[in-house]
Amino acid sequence: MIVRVTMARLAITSLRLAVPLYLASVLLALGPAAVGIAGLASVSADRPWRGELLGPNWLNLLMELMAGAIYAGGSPGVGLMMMAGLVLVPLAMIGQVIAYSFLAGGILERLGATPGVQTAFWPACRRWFWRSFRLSVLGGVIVMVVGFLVALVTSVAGSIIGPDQSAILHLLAQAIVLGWLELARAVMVERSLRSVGGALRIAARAAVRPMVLAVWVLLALPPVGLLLVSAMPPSIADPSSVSGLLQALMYGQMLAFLSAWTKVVRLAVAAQLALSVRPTSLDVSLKH
Amino acid sequence: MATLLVIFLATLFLPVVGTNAQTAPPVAPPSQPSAPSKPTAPASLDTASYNLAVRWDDAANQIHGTATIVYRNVSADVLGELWLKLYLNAFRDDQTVWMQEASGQHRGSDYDPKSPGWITLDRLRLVETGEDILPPSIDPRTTSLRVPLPTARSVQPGETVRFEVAWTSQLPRVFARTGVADNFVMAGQWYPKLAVYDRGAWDTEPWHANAEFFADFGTYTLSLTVPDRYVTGATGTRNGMTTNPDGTNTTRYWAESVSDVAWTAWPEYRLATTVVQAAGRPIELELLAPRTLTTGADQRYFTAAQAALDRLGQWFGPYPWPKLTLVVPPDNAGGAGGMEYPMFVTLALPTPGAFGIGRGIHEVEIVTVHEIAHQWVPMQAATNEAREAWLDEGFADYATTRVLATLFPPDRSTLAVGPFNVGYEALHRTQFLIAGVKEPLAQPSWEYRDFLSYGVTVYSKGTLAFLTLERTIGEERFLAAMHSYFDRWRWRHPTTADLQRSLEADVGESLDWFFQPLVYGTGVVEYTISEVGPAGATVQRRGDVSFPVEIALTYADGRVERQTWDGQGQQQVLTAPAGDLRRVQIDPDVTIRLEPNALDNGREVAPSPLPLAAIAARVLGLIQAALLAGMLG
Repeated sequence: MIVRVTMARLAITSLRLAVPLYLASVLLALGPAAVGIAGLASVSADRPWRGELLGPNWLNLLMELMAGAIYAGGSPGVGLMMMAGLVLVPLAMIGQVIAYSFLAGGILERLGATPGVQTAFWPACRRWFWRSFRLSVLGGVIVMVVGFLVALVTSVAGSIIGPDQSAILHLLAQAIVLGWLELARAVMVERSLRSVGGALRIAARAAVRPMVLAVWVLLALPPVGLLLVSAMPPSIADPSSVSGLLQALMYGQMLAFLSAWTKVVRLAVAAQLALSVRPTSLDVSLKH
Repeated sequence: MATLLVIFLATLFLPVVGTNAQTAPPVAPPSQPSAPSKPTAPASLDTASYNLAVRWDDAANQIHGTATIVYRNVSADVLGELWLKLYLNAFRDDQTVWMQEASGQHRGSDYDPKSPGWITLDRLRLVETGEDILPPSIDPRTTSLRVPLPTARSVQPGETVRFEVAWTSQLPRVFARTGVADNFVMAGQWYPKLAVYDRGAWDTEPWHANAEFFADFGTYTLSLTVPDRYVTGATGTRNGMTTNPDGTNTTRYWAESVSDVAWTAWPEYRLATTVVQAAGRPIELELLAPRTLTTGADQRYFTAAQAALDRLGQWFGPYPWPKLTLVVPPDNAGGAGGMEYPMFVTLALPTPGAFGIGRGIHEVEIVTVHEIAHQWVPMQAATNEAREAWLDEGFADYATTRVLATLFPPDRSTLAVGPFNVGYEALHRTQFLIAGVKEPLAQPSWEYRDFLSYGVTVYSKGTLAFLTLERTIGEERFLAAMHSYFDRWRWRHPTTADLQRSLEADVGESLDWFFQPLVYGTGVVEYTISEVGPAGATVQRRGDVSFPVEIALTYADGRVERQTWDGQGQQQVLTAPAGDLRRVQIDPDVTIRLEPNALDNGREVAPSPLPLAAIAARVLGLIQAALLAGMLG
């Protein structure tokens, strides 16, 4: 049986383990958000239109704001907004990769621990950080190469593959590659491997099984759904009310936590799959 | 021509050229307010008529043609010469006026010098006398040819002259609206065409890069012979087809009251037809689209076309012809798309996008409506686009903005993909502001600084000028006045001054205050609220144009009071004796679309911090979603 963990245990453990991942996203997002809002406040503090940025017309308004600043030869407030969006958010994304690489080791050790046996979370995070980070960097390269190859295939076969099929192929390839990478991360922790490449090779053996492929594809769906829902927040009828503020806050944070949780669930599944991969002579040679 | 999206993309890479707008407008030509419009030429549908017989040589990419051209002198002058437009010579090499101005590029496509375009006249003679009037030497790069007439054959006022012409046209690789791409053929501006004699002068300008076409009206017949595997379409109604023994067929087209004829041929066309009702008239739509395009896409073109024909017909007078041909060029001939001819428009392929995203990108609708709007200007009111492009492109995109607003919510008429909504009006505002152009609307196309300046001025500033005028005058009055303008100038050649006089005659007031600074000049409308408090506010005019403006004052009890300021003087002080003012909004109905900084038009006396806090909460959540969606984090 591939997934042996009970749903209840998975739910409780994974929800708890999602907290640090979620908090990391809060901390990392606060910087760009604060700078962007400071910029917006300087150009819209007493403007009646600012509440419209929470409605369906937000992009038209933002375009007018940005274009107006360019027309005027610059605007410090809009400059801050652009810096937040174009510089600080990408930096935060890199920070998130680092944070995830750090936390993943601790999460995997905790998920792979024998029930009833407590493992030290933070030391485990530190122990696995560099190997996990190397895997993330290598994974980034692999994801780009696979994406390029899929794009090549879909463009060559453009006359028979429509945009829907092309997008599905991209998503499938990405889901499988990411699943494989997470399995490698879990194998690394489960087997205490030092070699990232070795972990990837071991994970590849398990990853090619149809059931495993199906699992990764299924696990890719909730994050995609959450991203779509996050990107389409409901309009806020009364932005000047406390309820409007709470609505905006709760919606964003609830979805962010759920997103963090889906990542932990993915790691939990990877940890269970890692246990199911039979050790080989290769494992011994890769151990530290 | 729909260059709008190109312009938009180009503006994203512009250096910031805008500055605060307080420059003085240049002196504008004097205007005679409220004089009723008096066309200088009589109405005529048969000034220049053509009987064309052409054969497509698909091995050489050449058109071999003969034509009988009938020209009637509708002026009060004796004409001792004719002028012919030889547009294709613009593509003969990179030394032509057109190529020099365009630096060998058009809409992002490069001219291929190995695949030039040209036109040569093989014969030109008067029908009545058989006299040869072909000039002995013709500059091969000329696009505007003077043809002196024998003294005895000067054309008297009201007189008609007939002449025969035989010519060869070499089509280039698809470039600037015309040419071939593999076996796809788009023949635009492909035959020797008479120039316009209007207001005492021939249009002798060479073809400029930032210019389109100008012609008289007439009756056209076209006999088009192509290899029989080709599917063809052309201006006019189909009037029979003959299969020839040499493996070709000849299709005949016929059109009345048109100023041009274009045609296309391609073996890979799929032909679909439908009849729609538009402004109370049945109109046949003929769609020529690549076979690879799914039939599901047809409805998008038909729906947009029907909406355009119907709404524009209601606002400006019915579409006067029985048929409209819609052409969708293939992917490798994009330069042929987005162009207007009488009864014939070339469109854009749908933007691909997975899971219906492409459907939310309204390029098909925008281009279709825009090109159909040209069926009113210049296909009915034949303005000279080279000299006053805003009358043509500005009007077309103004009309497009209006029609799109009947097809989609206005704030998502360009893009409606999930939370990403962009309106067509907002797109024009963005282009207008980013490009920061400060050139007059009414000036010849070749005098603009560059293509971007030309494009943003005539398309975006032109659209915003029409919208501003409409909203200032009032929608109903303005549409009625525009309808009258078309009634007065249909089948003629109006200018900006004619438009102004026509509108003034209908709205009953001088519009100098608008046309002088904003059409002929580079004036700037700019208002702001310099001070605001419970007891009142000060509204300042920062632009050089005194534009009448409404100001809305909102009080503590929710009451809204509107005041009108004529914009004279530098500022207007507004008082609230009860000390209960809560908000001031200049131009609350968003009338003035030419105001660069419209976002400083409103201020609150005691703004709540909650909206910004809610925005902060949302932005935080969105950034977190982006971080957590990262593939490796």
